[in-house]
Amino acid sequence: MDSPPSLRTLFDEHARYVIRALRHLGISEADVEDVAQDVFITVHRKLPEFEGRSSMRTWLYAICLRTASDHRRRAYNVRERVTEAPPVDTGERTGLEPDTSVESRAFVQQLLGELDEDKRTIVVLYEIEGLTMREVAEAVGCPLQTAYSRLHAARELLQQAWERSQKEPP
Amino acid sequence: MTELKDPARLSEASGGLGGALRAAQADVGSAAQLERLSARLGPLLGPPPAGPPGVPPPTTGAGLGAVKLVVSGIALIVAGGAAWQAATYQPVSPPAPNSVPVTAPPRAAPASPPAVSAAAPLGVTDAGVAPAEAPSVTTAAPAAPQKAPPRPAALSEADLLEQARSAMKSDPARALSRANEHRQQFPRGALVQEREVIAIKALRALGRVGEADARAEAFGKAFPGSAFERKLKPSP
Repeated sequence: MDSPPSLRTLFDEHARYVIRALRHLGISEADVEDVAQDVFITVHRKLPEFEGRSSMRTWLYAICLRTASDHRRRAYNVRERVTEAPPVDTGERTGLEPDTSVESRAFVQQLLGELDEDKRTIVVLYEIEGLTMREVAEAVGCPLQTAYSRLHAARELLQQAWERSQKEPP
Repeated sequence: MTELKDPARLSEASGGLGGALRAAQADVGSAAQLERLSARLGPLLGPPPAGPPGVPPPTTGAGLGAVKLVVSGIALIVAGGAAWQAATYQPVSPPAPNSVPVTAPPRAAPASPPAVSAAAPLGVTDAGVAPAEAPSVTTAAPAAPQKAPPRPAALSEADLLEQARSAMKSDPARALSRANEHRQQFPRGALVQEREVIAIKALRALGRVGEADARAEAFGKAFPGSAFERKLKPSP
């Protein structure tokens, strides 16, 4: 096997997509750079162990998934400790609400938020990041057939969420 | 068994969900985010190749040699290491008055409780540790968009560990001192595991086997599953 590329090369080729993937995996904008940093630190440490059993891209996304999952779990624990009562939406509008048009980040996040973590991961890797389903299954660490099943279920849920969003008043 | 053919991607469909997913595809990291991230990772990334696409080069050449050395040197020392908790590992003793996350802006909060019992044995015990010289960037608002941290902070961490690494053979006491100094200045640094590897090896070289073993044990508890742990086991 050829020697793995340098961290610099990986960063230059993939960093922008790592950020995109993390964002769609549910990492908040305030945290996405922290988590991306964690991803590349992990890549740095594990790179000498990369054996080429999967593609570099699949390997990198697998690290993204693990890092994002760890971050979400920790963030959840922190929230559990500090949150007293969630804010109540009174229905009042200030005119300064975020853009929720179909192309907006908020709308995409809302759609993806309809999915559980397993399905969301499949959608992000296949529909947004453009991996093949075999690569998706490798990155996630599940059988290919399971990945297909999750994608199928996720698409149905996305379609339902989409239809609901079109019926709701703006 | 015949392998299923991948279905057409929703993003290829016109309108509807397809439009939203195409927008998501276009939502890559911005140039500013890449620049900040590159600055944070500077010691690990090393210099960019000439004319890199998208990512600006480091801002100064000062200390770049040290960055190169520390990257390659630490890689030699800890090659093959792996762990997931590095960026959140936070030794609890002693508290550093000017603690600075390596090259990164401060995080919102410790994401998980530090491994108190595991980290405790890793306390800096050597006398004569130089006072922290870290820039005061720790009080910034955690969730606000961060500017790139000052370059000297990035080089400072790399420089300390490079000094520690290069002193290992000729002067392990100095290597240990530099490693401990790094620990005081960068308790949540990006190179925490690398530092511990250097410190433990230095302790062994100094014949302080008990301390080395205790620190290695604490490392194993703080970073379970790390491939570094294997490398830190004493020779039979």
